[in-house]
Amino acid sequence: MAECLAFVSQKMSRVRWQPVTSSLQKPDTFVSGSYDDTVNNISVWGVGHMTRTSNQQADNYMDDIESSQPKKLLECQTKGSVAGMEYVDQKSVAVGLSSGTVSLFKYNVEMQSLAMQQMWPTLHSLSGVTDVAAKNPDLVSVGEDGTINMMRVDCKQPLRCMVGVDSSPITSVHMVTSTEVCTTNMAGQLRMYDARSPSDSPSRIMISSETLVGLCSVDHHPTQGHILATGGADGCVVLFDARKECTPVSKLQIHEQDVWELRFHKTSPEHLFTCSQDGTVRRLDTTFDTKTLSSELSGTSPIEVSELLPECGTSINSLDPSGNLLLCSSDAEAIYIIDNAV
Amino acid sequence: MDELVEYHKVNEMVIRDSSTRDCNMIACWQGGNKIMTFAPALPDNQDNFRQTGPVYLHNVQLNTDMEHPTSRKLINESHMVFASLQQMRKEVKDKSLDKSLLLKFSRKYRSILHSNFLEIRLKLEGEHENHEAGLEQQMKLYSMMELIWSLCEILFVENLPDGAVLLQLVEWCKWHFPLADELVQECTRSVDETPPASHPSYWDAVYALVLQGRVSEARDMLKLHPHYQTQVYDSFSSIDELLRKMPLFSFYQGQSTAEFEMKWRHWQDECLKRLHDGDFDTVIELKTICKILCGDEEVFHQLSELSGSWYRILITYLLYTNPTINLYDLHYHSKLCIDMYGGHTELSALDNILLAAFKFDVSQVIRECCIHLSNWWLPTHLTDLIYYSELIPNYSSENSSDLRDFLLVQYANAMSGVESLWDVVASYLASCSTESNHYLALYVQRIPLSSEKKVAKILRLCEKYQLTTEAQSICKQMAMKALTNKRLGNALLWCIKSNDSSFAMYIADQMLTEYAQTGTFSNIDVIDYLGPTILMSERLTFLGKYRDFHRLHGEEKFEEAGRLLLNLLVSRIAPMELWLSLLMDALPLLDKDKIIYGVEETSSLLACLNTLDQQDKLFSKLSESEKRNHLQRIKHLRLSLTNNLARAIVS
Amino acid sequence: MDGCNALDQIYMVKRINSEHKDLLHDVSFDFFGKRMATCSSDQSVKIWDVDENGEWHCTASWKTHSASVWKVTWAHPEFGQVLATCSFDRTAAIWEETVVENSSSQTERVWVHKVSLVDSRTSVKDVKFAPKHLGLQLATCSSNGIIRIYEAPDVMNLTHWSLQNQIQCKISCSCLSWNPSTHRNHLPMIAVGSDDPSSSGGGKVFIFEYNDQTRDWSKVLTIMSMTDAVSDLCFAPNLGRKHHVLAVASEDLHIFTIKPSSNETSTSSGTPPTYNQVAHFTDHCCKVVNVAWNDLGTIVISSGDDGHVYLWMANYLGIWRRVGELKKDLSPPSDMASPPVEKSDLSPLPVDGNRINFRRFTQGRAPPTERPLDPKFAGAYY
Repeated sequence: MAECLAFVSQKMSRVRWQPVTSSLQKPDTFVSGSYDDTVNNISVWGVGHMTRTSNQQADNYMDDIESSQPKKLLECQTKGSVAGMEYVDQKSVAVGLSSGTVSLFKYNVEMQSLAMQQMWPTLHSLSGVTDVAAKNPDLVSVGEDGTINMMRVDCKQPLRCMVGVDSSPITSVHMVTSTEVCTTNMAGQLRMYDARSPSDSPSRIMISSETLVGLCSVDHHPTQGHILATGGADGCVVLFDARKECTPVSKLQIHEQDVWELRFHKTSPEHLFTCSQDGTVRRLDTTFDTKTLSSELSGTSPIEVSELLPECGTSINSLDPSGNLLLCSSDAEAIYIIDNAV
Repeated sequence: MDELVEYHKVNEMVIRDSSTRDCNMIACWQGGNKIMTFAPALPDNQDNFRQTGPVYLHNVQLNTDMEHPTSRKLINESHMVFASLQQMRKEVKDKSLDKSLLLKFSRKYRSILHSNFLEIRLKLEGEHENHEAGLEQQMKLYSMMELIWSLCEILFVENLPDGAVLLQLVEWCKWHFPLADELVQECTRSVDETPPASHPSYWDAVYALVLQGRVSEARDMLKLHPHYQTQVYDSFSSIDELLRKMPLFSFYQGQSTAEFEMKWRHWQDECLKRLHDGDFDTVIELKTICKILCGDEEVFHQLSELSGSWYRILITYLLYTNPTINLYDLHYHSKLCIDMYGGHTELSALDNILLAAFKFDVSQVIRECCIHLSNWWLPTHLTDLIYYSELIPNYSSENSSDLRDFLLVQYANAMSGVESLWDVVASYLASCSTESNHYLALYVQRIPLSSEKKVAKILRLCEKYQLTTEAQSICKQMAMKALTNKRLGNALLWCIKSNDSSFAMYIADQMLTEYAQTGTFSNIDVIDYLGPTILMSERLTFLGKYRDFHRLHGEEKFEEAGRLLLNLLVSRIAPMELWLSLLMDALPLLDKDKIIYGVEETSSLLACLNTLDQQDKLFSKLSESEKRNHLQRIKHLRLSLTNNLARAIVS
Repeated sequence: MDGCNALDQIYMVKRINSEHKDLLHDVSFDFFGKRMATCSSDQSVKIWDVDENGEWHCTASWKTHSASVWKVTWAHPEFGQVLATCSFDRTAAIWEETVVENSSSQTERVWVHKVSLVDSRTSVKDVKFAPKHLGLQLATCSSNGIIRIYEAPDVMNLTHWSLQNQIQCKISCSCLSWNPSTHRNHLPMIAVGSDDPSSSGGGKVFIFEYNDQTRDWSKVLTIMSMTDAVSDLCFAPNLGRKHHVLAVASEDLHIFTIKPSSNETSTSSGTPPTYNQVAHFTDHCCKVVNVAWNDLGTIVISSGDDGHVYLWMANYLGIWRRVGELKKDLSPPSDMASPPVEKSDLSPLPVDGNRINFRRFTQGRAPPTERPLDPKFAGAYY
């Protein structure tokens, strides 16, 4: 495992690889969104082979720096902290901001352009958006105000505003299908909403614990859509089976503190990547067979956990695996690219 | 001790404001390192002096260089090193740490400075004309800091034995002052195919190499000279031989100082002999080289242009006169070299810092750095690194704080203007040895609670440093904020998190009030999942149980619902204000075909009703129409309950 | 402004139009420096919020009193968004920001008048909330020398305040400061300054302590050396020190340390507090009108009548020195194209004036002259 570390002078709340067109292609572009700064922005970065210029005259040391470090290609200021960010398609990114606005940015590296294409202003009150999810052409945003908004890329008005449907702040959102939305909240609930249903109440509520420990993040298994993984504020990874009962299938103490984000590997779904406030990034390897998972509670563990990053002491806020590269961002204003993460 | 007193910078700032006639100005702190100034009204005149134009405020921010992307890189990267150094100290339980470990940390810091320097240089090269203002200044600052740091590393951290220290200093010169390399390159890579030896800088290049003690490179250069012949013994081969035979001290090969000194004397005698024999009289340049080798003071004067500064000539001078010099004797020779460059009055800020280092006066180095460098980075990290190695005298009294703490706080304070560096600031404040948590506690209270996620991070910080009071306060603020925004469910979650039962009771009351007014709970999704946490406050327990009653009733489990309701009343969990509502809730249960309340239960309910009826205090709070309503309800209830009692007795 | 120097510190000045019709009396920031309240002779108070780009915007403005508003101050955010004001109209008032639903069913934030404290018969000169560990308490002082302590028994109901104590100072009071120490051995303490002009009237700074047993405030100390009128005073944040630090603005700037009562269990028999002057600066060549501490209690800022503002810091040996100076330049800036009057709301200075480099020099030593050196370091020296 090789890692590359770059200090980017901004805390990044979200980092996302540009989707690759084939599994053979190595990802070479990613976007990042900053938060908590005087001026926040989203940036497009190029990695490695792509940015290597023809000018190879510089001495070796400089050459090394230039080729392995991500290079900022484009940048655009945002109104407020970036809280949620997701690719809609190859070149457009949905961004949720602390001002409550959701914007759609489109970029083109060759043309040196990065611009806002669509904006849904102040959909959320209080501290604004906490997360966005996208499944082209549908978008969902959630906020601390307990509101869920559904939008379509080409539509200026949001399709549906479910105002204050959650009494506690919603922490993350994920689209399982274009009509099935799942959210997590500070009260430790995983909720499923059906976009087709006229009712604003969730189709089901699953709870992770009796003690109201919040959930921070959610993702679904790419091939077995009913398996949902959530990350808790207590460092646990909680796995749910959406078909079955409301209690978790399995609860694993993977980290010591809040699991800010977790992601299944898109093409090798036996890997689940997690990052945490405690400064660690870990990989869980298992088949995610619900039967063996539930039996795991009684002893023998079919799950292997590996450490992907030496503990850096500061929170890792976001991660994104693609191919064999893993992208992470930390509160030390650093971005890590870990090679051979799979 | 007096010497250490002046640790200060005096900053002069000008605010342009022509909007008011007089120059009055009042300043107050905004927080961090921001100041707001305004022209004050005179306290005594009410209407005499009406302001005509607009009234301005001026927002002054100090230390804005901390916001610069390069500074932030330095701050974050060095913080990681700093944090692991503190961690190491904690783990080995020996604050002074091993020398080799300290050296490792020192080199990490230095490499950060260097990479920052390189990056700015790259930026400057890349953008040519229109680069950011101040970038060049930044580059100078970094190269200066690197120069100071590496010298301090050699002198204070490595702490080499006699002889070896000079070798390191020669390396230091070579690394920081690439003049010799530049000259060599100029000669060898000339465009128009002129032979290197006829280049105007040829001899300067050779001198520069010899001055830096790089004899083999100097020999390579000499070989390029057309008069250089290998077969014939002449002045060229003579100097070549001297250069080749120059003894180099190598501590690591087990060479003793005495042994080396003997060799050295022998070699230098030979140099002197050849010089006096007139070996080099034909080629004047070679004579100069030989004079250098002999340590001739005069020739150093001549070549002062090439050396550039007193400290570089000092090292050259020592190399050829006193190669085994002791660390502590370095400064005895500095005066001579300073005089070559105009004496003490001509010393710059950097000179003074370096001179203090050569004098092995750590306190003075730190003092000078504090005074002259525009940020606290270097003195803070340097002090922290070597603080426990007893190089710095420690004064402590009632009014004073410890030097390391003082610098940590200053550095943290300078960063506090950049909001997103809050965790770095906190980390430095937490590393203070004394009063640590006081500074940290003060700071933590001032971190803006901008989002739930950030609050979670701040609470983790509080947890790490056991700042319980501050954590409680943050939860309270969050609960209050949610309450103001009418987000009762969220407010309740914050109360639960901080175990604040009295506030939880207030919120439960609010929820019950809402129920009393609208007949519905808007926060069912939280109340239903409270679980064991409802035991935190009696009112919350009641709320949970009361909600259970509604659910049971909804599910048509009337008997269970009835029992629960009675329990709530009898156990006195229910607040008196709600008894009437609860009793009213019992009414539909009395109408059921099946008798739900037996004789005993109905009597208890009646007893409750009587107690309620006697509560004049409660009654007096109500308005006239409410009073009428209240009395009517009690009458109705009494009737229904008596009926039920009769039914129960009969059956 | 000649060329920049690598050793210069950089500061930035941003200008904000206060939108007040008259000169300001006070500016006060909330705990996080994210909100600002200003009050003026125009009888109004304005609330300012910082937006995403760090710019100040006035978000509320209303008439608070029927005369000049002297002071405005924020309560701890644990009690919500609460302000107190005091005025020449002899009253002090409490204001709370609440969320209401407007006609188009959108939520709106409005500042609601909670209560007017009308006990004073003369102008109320200062108002300050107690540190939060003492609950929601408020102290006012008026020009006829009466200090009043109010308390809101129910922090959720700010319309009810009870007058807890009334202390007669017998001399016109101008300013007060609560001691922020949270140490359990430290009794609640207030310092009061008097602006009485007669220098024969004795000490002008009084320290009061609250006694739990008698439930009363009593004067425990008068700083006798302070005979000149006092315009402002302020306790430093306590850093777990055994003593308190008090900055006083009078004819000069004074900094005192105050040792609290030695025996907290029986104050009557214990030794009364003592004071010690640790710094006295005459750098302001006129009256000092204002003092303020930074968050960490490391730097105190003092403003003089002559438009000079100085920053002071104690080094690690506890010796106070001047570390900075702000000066007002009355001449109209030459690089400004349009006169400032025409610039509406928030107008930062033009870019040239935005980042200003200044030279730093050590006290008592002239900056060394510049000389050419190694090209790499040329210009890096003074």
